[in-house]
Amino acid sequence: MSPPPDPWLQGALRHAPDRDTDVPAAVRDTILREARRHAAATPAARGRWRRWFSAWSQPQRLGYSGALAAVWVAGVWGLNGLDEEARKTPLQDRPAAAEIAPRPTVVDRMADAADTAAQPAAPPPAPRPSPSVAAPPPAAEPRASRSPDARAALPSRVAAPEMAAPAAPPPAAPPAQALRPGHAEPSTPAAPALAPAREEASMNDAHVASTTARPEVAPGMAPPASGPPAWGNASAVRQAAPLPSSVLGATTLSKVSLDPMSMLLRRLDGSAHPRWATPGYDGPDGAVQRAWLERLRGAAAGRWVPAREAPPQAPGLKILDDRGTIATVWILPAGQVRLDADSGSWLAPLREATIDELESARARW
Amino acid sequence: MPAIETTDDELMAAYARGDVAAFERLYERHQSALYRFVRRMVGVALAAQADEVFQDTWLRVVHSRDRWAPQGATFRTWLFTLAHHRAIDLHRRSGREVSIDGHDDDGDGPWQPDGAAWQHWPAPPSSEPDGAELAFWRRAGERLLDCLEQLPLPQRSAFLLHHDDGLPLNDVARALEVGFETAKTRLRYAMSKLRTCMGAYLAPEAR
Repeated sequence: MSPPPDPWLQGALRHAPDRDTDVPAAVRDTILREARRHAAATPAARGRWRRWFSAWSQPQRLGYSGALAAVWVAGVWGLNGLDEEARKTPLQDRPAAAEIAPRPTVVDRMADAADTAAQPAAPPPAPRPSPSVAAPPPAAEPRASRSPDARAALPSRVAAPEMAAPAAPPPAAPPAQALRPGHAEPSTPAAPALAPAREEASMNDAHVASTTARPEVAPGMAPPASGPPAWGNASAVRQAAPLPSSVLGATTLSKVSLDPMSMLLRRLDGSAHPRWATPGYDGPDGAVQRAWLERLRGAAAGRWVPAREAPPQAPGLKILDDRGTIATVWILPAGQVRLDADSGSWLAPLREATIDELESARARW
Repeated sequence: MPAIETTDDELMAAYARGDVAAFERLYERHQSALYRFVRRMVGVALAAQADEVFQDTWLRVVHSRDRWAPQGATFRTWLFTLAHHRAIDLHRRSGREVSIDGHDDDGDGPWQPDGAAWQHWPAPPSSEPDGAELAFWRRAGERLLDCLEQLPLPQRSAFLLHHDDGLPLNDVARALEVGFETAKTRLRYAMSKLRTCMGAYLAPEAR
């Protein structure tokens, strides 16, 4: 139960001398100017989709939208499967459902053959317009003796296992060059699909240009996008659509282990007495700090690019061990994280919400 | 028929669609309370940075307009959460220790209220005090600001959100991102300390 407010303290608060202090006009003007500037850059249509998306991504609706998505996927899959079946078999040749269901094994076929051999010789089946299952399987008949017509008359359920070749040849693995011309490796999920920067673009343009112009890519790092890159722009990152995992394949998975933050975490695991020296916290590398780094690693995974600029002047979060500084981390105002470590200097874009989350978590250390 | 006031959520949604007037209404609605909260949170020592914290809080609102959705918390609660984070960050950046628990620094054990001083307080102020009563409560207000400075930040924020901004304890807990019981404990300690601080000052001999 909530304690009631103390009327005396509340009375004193109401009469405190700062009660009617006004916000300085300059501050107010700055805030409203920024609000206008950002509102002007908000296309209505995009806002509608964003609101629709955010409305449906609320936790209480996620379950419902997830179920809808699952039903939709199942439906499409099911229809697709039916369609495939329909394409394989001409309409007049489709066996009844009961005939399709039990797909005979080799043992079944042998038993059929034995049954056929045990039965008195029956007159050969009359040619039928369709190779229906209704015809007795002439499996006991030596294959060599079958005429093409007879073979054509074989029921599809018997013929199917004999056709050892798969219905469709496995797709040839696409060459790496086809995935990403000019690069030896396929791209990572986030980079290629980044949308053009919007309002914050001007702040990052120079940096983006310098980054994307670099032809070389650090081993295991995400190469810069060939499209309009906007890393550092939180809204653009949100719109990033990862490539399907089937395209990325094992190369991407192997990159995860080379993530600079993962390397740092490994290094910390191997350090005897790791500790942190930050503006607000100077102490051991505890579970809270490690969870914070893990959160950062997850948020920046696959987005790291080499940093060419000098490190910021502002004090970063230093991680040290007995031999000195292992790494320094900066959460930059432009919506990025910078990591300077043994592996080099790296930058990755972060969502604004992630930055808020990281900052508030750090504020609790 | 009284006009139905547009809710904060509706205004924020309108601003996300590009309606600047909606933002201006939101700003006018909350700027005074937020500014007061920020100034009291940063305290006298960091008063020069209060404007920066206040501005940064609103800019966060501007930048988050697309993503904001009322997920259980009101806009006002969210606004104060943003301001609280920035105030805490400012304290940390300035090298001040910020106790997280907010009630583990009571030093000499459980606090015991000074009932003797407390019982000499006058009745709570009327809605429009005047004359001597008004002078008394103004002095009390000054004294309370001094007492607030001595409170640990977590207790200070819990008290201000609950007593000045009128947030129910549930929302205080949400704004401070702590559990209900933690918020309640912080509030209880804050009230006890402030009563002690104010009681000693406002005892009859001190008046």
